[in-house]
Amino acid sequence: MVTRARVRPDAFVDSVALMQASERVRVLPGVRAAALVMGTELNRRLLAEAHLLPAEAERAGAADLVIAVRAESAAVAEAALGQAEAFLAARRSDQGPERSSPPRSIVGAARRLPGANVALVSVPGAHATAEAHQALSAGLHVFLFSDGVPLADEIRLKRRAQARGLLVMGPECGTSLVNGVGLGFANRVRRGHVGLVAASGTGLQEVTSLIHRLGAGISQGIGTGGRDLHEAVGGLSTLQALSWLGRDPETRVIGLVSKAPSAAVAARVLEVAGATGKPVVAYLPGFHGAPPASVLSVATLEAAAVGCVRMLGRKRPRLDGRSGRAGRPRTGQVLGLFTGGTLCDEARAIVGDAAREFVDFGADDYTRGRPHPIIDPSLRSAAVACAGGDRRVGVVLVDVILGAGAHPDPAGPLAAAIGEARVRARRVHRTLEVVAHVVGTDEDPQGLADQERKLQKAGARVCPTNRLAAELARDLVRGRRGR
Amino acid sequence: MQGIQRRACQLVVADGALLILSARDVPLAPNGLTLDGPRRTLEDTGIRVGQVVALGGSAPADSGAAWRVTLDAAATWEPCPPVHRVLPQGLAERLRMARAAVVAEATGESLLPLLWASESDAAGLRPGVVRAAAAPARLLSGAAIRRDETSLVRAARGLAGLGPGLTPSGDDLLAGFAAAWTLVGESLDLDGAARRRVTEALLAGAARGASPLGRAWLEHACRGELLEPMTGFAGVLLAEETRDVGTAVRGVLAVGSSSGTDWMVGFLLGAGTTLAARVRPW
Amino acid sequence: MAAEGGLFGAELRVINAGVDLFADALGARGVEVSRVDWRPPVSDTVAALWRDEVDAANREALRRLGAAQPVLVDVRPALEVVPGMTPTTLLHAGPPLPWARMSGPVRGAVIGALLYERLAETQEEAERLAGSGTLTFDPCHHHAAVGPMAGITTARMPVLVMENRAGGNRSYSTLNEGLGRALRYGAFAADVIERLRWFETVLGPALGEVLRRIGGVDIRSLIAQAVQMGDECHNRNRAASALLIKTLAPHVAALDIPAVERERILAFAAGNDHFFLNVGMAACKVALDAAHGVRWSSLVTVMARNGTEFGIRVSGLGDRWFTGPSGTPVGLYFAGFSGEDANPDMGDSAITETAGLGAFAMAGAPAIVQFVGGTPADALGYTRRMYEITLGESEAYRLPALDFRGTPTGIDVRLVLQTGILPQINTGIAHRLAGIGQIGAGLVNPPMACFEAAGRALAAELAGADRGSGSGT
Repeated sequence: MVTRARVRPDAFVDSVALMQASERVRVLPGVRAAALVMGTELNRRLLAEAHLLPAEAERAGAADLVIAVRAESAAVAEAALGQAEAFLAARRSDQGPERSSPPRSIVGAARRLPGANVALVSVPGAHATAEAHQALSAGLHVFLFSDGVPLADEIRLKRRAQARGLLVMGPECGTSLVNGVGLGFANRVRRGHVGLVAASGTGLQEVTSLIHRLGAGISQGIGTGGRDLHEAVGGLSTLQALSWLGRDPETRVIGLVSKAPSAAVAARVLEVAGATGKPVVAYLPGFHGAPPASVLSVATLEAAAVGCVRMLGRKRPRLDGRSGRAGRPRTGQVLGLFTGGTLCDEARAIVGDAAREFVDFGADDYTRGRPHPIIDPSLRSAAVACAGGDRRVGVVLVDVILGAGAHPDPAGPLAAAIGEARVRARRVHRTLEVVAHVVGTDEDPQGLADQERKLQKAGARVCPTNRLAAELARDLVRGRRGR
Repeated sequence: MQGIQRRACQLVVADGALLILSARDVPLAPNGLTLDGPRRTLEDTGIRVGQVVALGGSAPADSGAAWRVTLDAAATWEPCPPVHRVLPQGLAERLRMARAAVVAEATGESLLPLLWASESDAAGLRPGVVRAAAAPARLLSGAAIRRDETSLVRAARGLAGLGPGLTPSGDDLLAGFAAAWTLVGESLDLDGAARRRVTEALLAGAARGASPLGRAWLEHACRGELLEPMTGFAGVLLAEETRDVGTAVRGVLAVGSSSGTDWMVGFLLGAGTTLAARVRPW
Repeated sequence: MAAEGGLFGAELRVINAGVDLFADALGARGVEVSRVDWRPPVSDTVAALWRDEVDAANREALRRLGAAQPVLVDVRPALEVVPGMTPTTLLHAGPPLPWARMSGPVRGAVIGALLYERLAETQEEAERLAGSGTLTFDPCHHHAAVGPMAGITTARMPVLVMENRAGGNRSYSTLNEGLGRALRYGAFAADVIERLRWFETVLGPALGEVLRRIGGVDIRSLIAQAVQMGDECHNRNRAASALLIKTLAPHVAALDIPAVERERILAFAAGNDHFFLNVGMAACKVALDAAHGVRWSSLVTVMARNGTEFGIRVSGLGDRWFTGPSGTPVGLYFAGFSGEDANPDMGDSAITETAGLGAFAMAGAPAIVQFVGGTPADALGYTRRMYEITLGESEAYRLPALDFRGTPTGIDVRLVLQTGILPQINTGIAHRLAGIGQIGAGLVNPPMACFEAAGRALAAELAGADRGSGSGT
């Protein structure tokens, strides 16, 4: 890969021409990136960040035009630069309002895409209700990623959808797997016969990824939004999805995952699940009611995955054991720094009184005005690095979430932060243990094995499930007391 | 002669000021001269960067001027819109209509998403320029309300020169922001000295980073002098009686490819902070 | 309803509104994704309007609009046929407007009409009478009527009678006076009044006689043909006028009136490229009236201007008007005139856009787009944009340039508020002084305030019904 640039000090070019030319250069064969901008200080910084500022362009001034290209070879790059100049020189032909412009509403988009069946809504929360209702009017199922939707709006949306035979997945729904295709943040998993309903995005990601690792597959994975099993919502979407799964011939086992549900709603949901006649595995933390006979109630996400696979008739599904022995106890407590909310809750419960503090970077307070940590984990990385200097912390427990929509290499920056944390700890003559769990599969674009290796190289102990990671972290600080 | 495009060119005058010579169908600029004559492009004239151009009067024969622009038959126009006192509520409503028109009508890549970026959560702002502008733009608004000059300078530095084009998007946004403080501030009868402190902080922040033309237009905007379509828009916005803002907005959006939109984004952000400053004076 | 809502097992096809990231991921997996160029809605009211009641009502309103069969059946004096007409009633274009707030050309037309009706002998007398409060000023739209520009309609004027064969309702419009000095632009010189008298005594009765003899003319199919011949039936009516004259001419020739009058009728009709305009407007009105009054519907059934204000009416909101200041068109001016001379937009002729013609059908009338310095490609663009705010596409009016796609039809208040895209309207530009006439043509948009007010009103009605039935949450 080489980067080449030319600086034309002589003339301003109007921005339409610049944008058109850079678009035309960008699509030339062998070209990876291209930019045509005025050489202002800020533009040069942007170019540098995009690795598009070779030495020959560093001295460009605000009145200079910079043409920069990154391409497979020097020859391709030089040819592209020549092309760019040619594009600029060429007379702009009559543009006319060209290709038809993109649709401006969900209704308009649905009209242009015959057979459209799902609207994926991730607009700012204040406008999400309108978009979701609009999608229902267009006859679409709704995947509602946006957060900040008032509870009353959620209830109204779900009631309306139910009356029309449509499903609202969300609000604040991170993941669904519909017909084998992931919506939102989703891992690449095998298709199979486990149908899941989850009022928890990262919970669903953990369970589906583990089922994949256990060699089984998913028929459908329906996210319903974290509040679906709250008293007020009454499990509207969960009940609807359950009844669909009950009738879905591909689904042989039903899995149910939720953040802490309302007891009344959980009981009702279990009753409906039991009535499907299919075996059901339920992870409903904090719910201690008696489930119907066909329902297996489990205490961890890992057990939910294992349970589902066992119900399919597989003998003794196993995940690899924990990563190393706890050994001699460490001083300090466990600091949990998570990007997935359900994973955070589950781990906190397991670690118990060995916990120093558990932070969910996906919670509203951390995502206001910035992307979700699954997309941009920099806040969490910074917190990991800081932990090295905190004497009260003996073990840092982290999750890493892979899949579509997630950061292209979340383990990379985390590994760097872990390295920094350990250096800081050493400076004050302590050792810091880092325990990590990576949610994902070998088919995810980031590659599970690759990501795990990066963390191990940085000195982290990597566990195959969230439960194992939390238990290891707990045992590392409790050690003596634990055994 | 400093730069040449198809239908306009820029001259640096002896005192460092920037002048624009443009063909007839280019909007009038506060520092612009529209050339009389057939509508051909300037590139066809053979004029080149670096040449000396004599303006008006009678330059001595040995000045080395390759071109002469005579001003004998020139007419002038007024780049400052008429400003009336408008009640804050009425102005807020007009600004809301203007915002609606901008949001609906703007096309192509611009800083438009900044108008709702403050309320966005995970909405990963797409074009890199928008992402880069989001933080300084937020800082700009907050600092203007607080009259925090240090932050204003920092915000302006973060925006100046950002983006592609003859006037980078960030420059256009700053010019719109400054125009709002000058004109809307005048309409709301804000303290003149306070207003000037805001615009001067913008100028100071943009002094180095802005493109030459962007900086020239920012200076004019701080004096309330605007391009012709912007003058028309500000005139309608600050008119005595309520008029249809939409048509005037469309005129502004048609300037350049994204310049008009970026300017409007800056103006709306600026007008919002001006109103807020008026409601909470300190 | 299918058990799985058709979701499980179906091929996933996704609409993406918001973060591009997710659409990119789906696209990479080969899933078909349509991306919304999302912007925040104009007003948050819109969230309350996406409801099943409104969806169903709009389907019904749109069905009625599409099913309408306008037939031109007669020409009669207004007093005989227009409901609620009296000898001292003056109907005008647009939303309600008292004399005191009328703009120049509308005042001129009022004066002309009073002279024509012999209610006044001089201009001064007419002005006094108009301001005296003894006359009734009322919008054409309150009487199932439409009038271009000033739209002044009085008792003795002959009006076209349009019948909806599908719904039974009727609508009315005056006869078009041609270009140049005309009452609709506020001219009231002697020649203008004389022409109106000739309409009353000769043209009107003759056309009425012909129409009764031939049992009416199917206007829907006539418009359908004209749209394929380059008309949008608002600013360009050349083909439609020719088609109408072709239909009527043999029967006019057979009328039992003096040959000189037959000749004058045919010459007048042949010399007026906008002969069809008022016919088309009445046809649009009769169809939209049929679609009006469907409870909860957010379909716009009237867009009209009175030279001062722009007003709309909405199917589910009864007789209420939602108004805002009338804009000034952007366009080309005839030699010697400029934007300074223009009157704010006026006339009921935006009824054509409301019914899916005019600027909505611009793709079929590229000649029109030159008024705003555009190209034929722009014409396609204008029409394409209007699909974003309409509920459906016309079955009858099809555009060759868009592969015979039906014109965008049935403006939805919700889609206007959601997208911020305003209806486009083709319009003539009147001089702001009475009597000078048309000084240009161009494009104009309604003010957003009309749609916001309508949206709020519909939301309030829905909320009221929820409270009433206790079904709200």
